[in-house]
Amino acid sequence: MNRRRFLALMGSVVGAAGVAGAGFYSWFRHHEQDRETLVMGGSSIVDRFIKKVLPGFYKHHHQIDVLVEGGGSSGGLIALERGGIDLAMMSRELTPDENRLNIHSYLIGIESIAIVVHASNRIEGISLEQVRKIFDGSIDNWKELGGPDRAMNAYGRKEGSTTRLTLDQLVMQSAPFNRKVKELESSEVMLATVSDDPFAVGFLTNRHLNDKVKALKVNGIEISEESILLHRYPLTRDLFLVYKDPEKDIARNFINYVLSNESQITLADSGLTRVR
Amino acid sequence: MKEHPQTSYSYIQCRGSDTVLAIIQKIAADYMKEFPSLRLPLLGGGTSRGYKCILDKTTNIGMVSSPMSPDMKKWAKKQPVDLQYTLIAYDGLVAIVHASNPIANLSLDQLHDVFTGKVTDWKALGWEKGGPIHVYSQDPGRGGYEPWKRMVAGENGFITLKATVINGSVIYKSVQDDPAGIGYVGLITATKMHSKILSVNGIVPSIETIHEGTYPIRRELALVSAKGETNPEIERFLAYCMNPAKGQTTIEKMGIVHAHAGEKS
Repeated sequence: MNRRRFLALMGSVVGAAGVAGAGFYSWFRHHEQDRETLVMGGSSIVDRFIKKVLPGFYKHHHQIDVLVEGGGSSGGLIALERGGIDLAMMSRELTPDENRLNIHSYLIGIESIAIVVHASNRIEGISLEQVRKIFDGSIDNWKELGGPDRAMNAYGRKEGSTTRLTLDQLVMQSAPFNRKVKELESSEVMLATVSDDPFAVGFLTNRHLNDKVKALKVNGIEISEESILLHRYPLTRDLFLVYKDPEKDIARNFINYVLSNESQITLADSGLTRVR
Repeated sequence: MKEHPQTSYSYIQCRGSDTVLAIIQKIAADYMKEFPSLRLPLLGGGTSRGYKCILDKTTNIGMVSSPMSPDMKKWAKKQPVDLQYTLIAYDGLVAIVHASNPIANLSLDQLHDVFTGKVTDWKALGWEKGGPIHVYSQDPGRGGYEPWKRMVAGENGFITLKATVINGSVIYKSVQDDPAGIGYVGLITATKMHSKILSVNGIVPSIETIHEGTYPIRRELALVSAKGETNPEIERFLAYCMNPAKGQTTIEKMGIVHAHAGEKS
């Protein structure tokens, strides 16, 4: 593994504290030879998808190294404003206060989560409030949702899973998962488990959704490409790349690539709803 | 949901006012059915974002429910983009109070005094019990702020600094929870959220009174795009929104005053 790739990989684990160092590294590399380094930081959810399009980006831009830092959406934005990084990755909209005239954000894709049950389950829909109560343990029987008087088997994902993180932020409002919720390793395990258990309830990103399980309507809205694009389905999250004036060519190159057809196909294959 | 991404789709992103977004959700759903190769991702965020996303070219169509703020106007002059403004509908702005509040009507002058901070006690407005008035105002980035300031506080007036500033449409929640509260939202939001709406100068805000212009506080709901836009799909969607048999009919069916109705008044 060469040094460039090693650092690119390291970047994702260093976190916000690494931003200053990365800035220095970028300066150092820039002056060392004719290579350029693009430094990004922010949301780990966006990061996961950016990693998927990096190989494609490198194919078109041999001379650019990309360093990806953590720090969360807010940390990324602060690093961008201070000039420590070239692009911030955000998994939420800028607040009115953050939406200053020199800050510009591009929507790059939409992540969405389906609430899934066994294909034989006759429940059609659920409210966000009920989803929260299932995972915090205050609802544990199907009859509370109008189903049979049977115990509910709730399946979650482990902390560290970005799908879990998204559900925590969109639904749980800092309520912890109940201990009875069984935490599964992966979306594949979730799909297999829920499709085998007539009394199961779990969640999946829409990439893993298939006919073996049934996705419930949430607040009366069915999960579909249309309801996600039109902002009607409630369990979605908009993902952004954010730059600051004056825009650097290297940041422009990267944004253009992420918005390109080639990259949008990669993002869609990774589970996002494409927006370009 | 195993819809594989097709490369043949065209995407037109719309971003900005949440009030306009609620309208475009309906029109866009029809549009995608009629033109299956088109995709319309929608994003909220407020009116100032609606202008900004066209001026900084991050989006195709901006959604706005008020004129540009002075800061935005200054910035816009420095940008290489000229805006094209497509008026699609009108929305009344209404004063809302707590359900237990006995007051049903205020004059425009009384509203002016309340929102500029000249009158601070409910007693002065005829509520026997009296007590301090809690004024709620929208964030300046939201579409209700500029028209309300202009039409209620006056051209050179200011909303009282004692007002609690709330981010946009959730203002109705604050007022629903505060017996001494008064705030303002669009009629579309107020009706949907069952807020207690005041009449102004004795005129109840409604589709008819906003259409006729007898209700005095209304704002324009519009789409903005870049002038000289080369993507024909953008013009096609704007034309669909203005088509009396298509977008304008959808708006009318939602109980909103569409642009053609406004022209007649």
